[in-house]
Amino acid sequence: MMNKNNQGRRHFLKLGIIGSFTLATAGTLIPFFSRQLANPAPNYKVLRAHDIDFFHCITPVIVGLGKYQPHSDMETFFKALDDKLGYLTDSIKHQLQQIIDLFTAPATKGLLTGKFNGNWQTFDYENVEQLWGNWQTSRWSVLQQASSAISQLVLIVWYSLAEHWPAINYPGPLFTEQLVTRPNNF
Amino acid sequence: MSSVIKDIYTTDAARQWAIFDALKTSPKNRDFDVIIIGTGAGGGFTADILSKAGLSVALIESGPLQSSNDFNMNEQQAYQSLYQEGGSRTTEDGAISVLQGRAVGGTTVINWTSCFRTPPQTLTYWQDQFGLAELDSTTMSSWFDYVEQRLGILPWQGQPNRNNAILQSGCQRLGYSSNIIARNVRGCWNLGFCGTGCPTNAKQSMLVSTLPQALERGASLIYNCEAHKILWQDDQVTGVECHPANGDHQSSRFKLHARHVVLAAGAIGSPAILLRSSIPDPHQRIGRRTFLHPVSASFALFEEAVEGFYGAPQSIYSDHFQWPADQQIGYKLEVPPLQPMLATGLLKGFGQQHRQLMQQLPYLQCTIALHRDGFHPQSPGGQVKLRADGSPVLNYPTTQYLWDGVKQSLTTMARIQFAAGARSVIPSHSGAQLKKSLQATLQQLNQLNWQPHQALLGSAHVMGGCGMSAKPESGVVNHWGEHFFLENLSVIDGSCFPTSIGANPQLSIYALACRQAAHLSAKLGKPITLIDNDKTTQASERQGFALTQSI
Repeated sequence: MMNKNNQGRRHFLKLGIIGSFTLATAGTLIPFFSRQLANPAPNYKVLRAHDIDFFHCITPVIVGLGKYQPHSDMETFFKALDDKLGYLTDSIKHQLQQIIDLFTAPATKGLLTGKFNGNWQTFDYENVEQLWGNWQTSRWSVLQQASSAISQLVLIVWYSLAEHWPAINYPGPLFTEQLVTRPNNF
Repeated sequence: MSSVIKDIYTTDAARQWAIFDALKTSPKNRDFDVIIIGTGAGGGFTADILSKAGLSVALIESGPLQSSNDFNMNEQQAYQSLYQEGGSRTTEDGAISVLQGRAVGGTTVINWTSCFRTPPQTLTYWQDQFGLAELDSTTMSSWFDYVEQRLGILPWQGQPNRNNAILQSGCQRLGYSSNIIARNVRGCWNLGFCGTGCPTNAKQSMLVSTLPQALERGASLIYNCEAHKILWQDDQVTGVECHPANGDHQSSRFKLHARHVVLAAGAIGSPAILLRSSIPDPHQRIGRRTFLHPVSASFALFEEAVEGFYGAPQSIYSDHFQWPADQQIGYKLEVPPLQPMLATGLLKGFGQQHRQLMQQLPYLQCTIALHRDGFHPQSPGGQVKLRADGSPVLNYPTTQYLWDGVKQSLTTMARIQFAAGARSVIPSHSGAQLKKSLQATLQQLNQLNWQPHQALLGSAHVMGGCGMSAKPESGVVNHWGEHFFLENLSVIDGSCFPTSIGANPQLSIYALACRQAAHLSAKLGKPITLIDNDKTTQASERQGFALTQSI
């Protein structure tokens, strides 16, 4: 156990040193990498195709679904996430997209994760879990901030969906028959 | 899909009100006695009082108009549409999540209905440090009486839900003082969904109390409308430049004019408008000393169901640790509602441990500590700044003084939770584990890293940024909320507080707004009597105001 932790720490330190270069140059690299990927995916308002790939991979890890759970049907979640992102101010939306670009653009993804080949969907559940855990306590505040913010975003959207309430034994609001009404939509 | 509740904004009377959606239209009349920017606790009461006095009033609101028909106890819809920045507002470094309303009625639409008078210690501190001798407890008590009667504010008459009862029971067993919270509700259904907009109109928010009154008297309301900047020349304000909250800002700007402008856009919002307007600020006070009551949270698992998602969200509090004898930061203890979205937002961490805790949601209790910032040199608060696009952001450094307080409050909350019978306790921290004994919990608290992003810090109370003071060197406005350098500009909202309050701030904002608005009404030639307060009259006379201006 100790050995594994030490190994993890050494690996992490290496990433940290590389990460400093990455983060310092992110401002110039990101526009280059994200230029061709700026448009929302078909049927989405904000989420781009590579955002969806990224969230497809990290959401089961953040929610803690375990690797044997089927995660293929996440359409409702992505729609809710897209809806939520549509309400963010432009500057916050832009910051979030930059962070995802940092995590997903081939060169920066390789530097941050140690894996230059393949996209996030080819990563093992355990690898992503370890990576995400490391980032939560990273020396680099950008990684801490990014992983913390993305974790919170994923979790609040996930548990806002009624289809996920039975799993947490939440029965839903009371008196819905009397009180849930057609919105005014002024 | 039929409600037993009548939506105030769909009645025949409401169809006659002068309500404009800036995304679709704007008012033809562009001249008013007073423009009020913001419709929350400060703007609501100000509009009510000025319109009652016979002044023509326009209210500008950046958020949407939603009412009881829209409030369907849906966390997802509510947080993204009724809260600032889609419910994702944080401080600049992302360390503190800030829940703040953005709707007609402001934060009063989505707060948890807790009402406290401004603590006398806070008023004394303001007198000592900021020269605000006029705001003494005796003067303010008449205004608190007035608001409490107006909004039906009474100690909660029902049984506290179990989430609150655990706080009460733990405090009692340890000999800590606790008490019942007063709430601004009439005919509350005890649903627990105050934070997503009250579907029964029981909560006496500005949306159902002061604003309908003002609209009935002819006030104009323009919503989905951003106040870009205040127009001014020499020492006079002339109006406000606005634009629809979304869309093409440049081509759709329009101007409203008035004899007087009241800024009531809340802490963060009000200083931001002053900054965008390049209002004179020789002492660089605008946006500084902005406070948050930073919140820490401790979760506990109980054998019996807690069901913190149902029932009045807050009915018990403890001020036992609010005014410590030493110089440490004081904190108030309360509990939050625990619907899934808010519960997961409060519970730091991710992965399987987080999942296991969420799976036991009905058995989870959560206690929160609201730290009283702004009363110590090492608690200077934050600074509101403008991003490149002109939107505001709060830079709030987390000091060691605050982290010491967070560690202390988490220690206290764990003691209370175990005393009340908790099986296990976990502080909201990304590195924390559930612990089954107090000793193990305290040991863990000593071992964890206390720094941004790892420990939860949240806020639902933003205060300051346009602080009151006797002198322009240490504030933006005087004790009447009048700007020091522009004659016909007032700030009437939570941004005027020179420190945090040390209690949920809505009642402090209401009472101060009534006092300021009554004064302003007299100043504009329409005196109005709301309370019989000899003390206030005397205070006015001391300041050299004519008797007709006193109230």
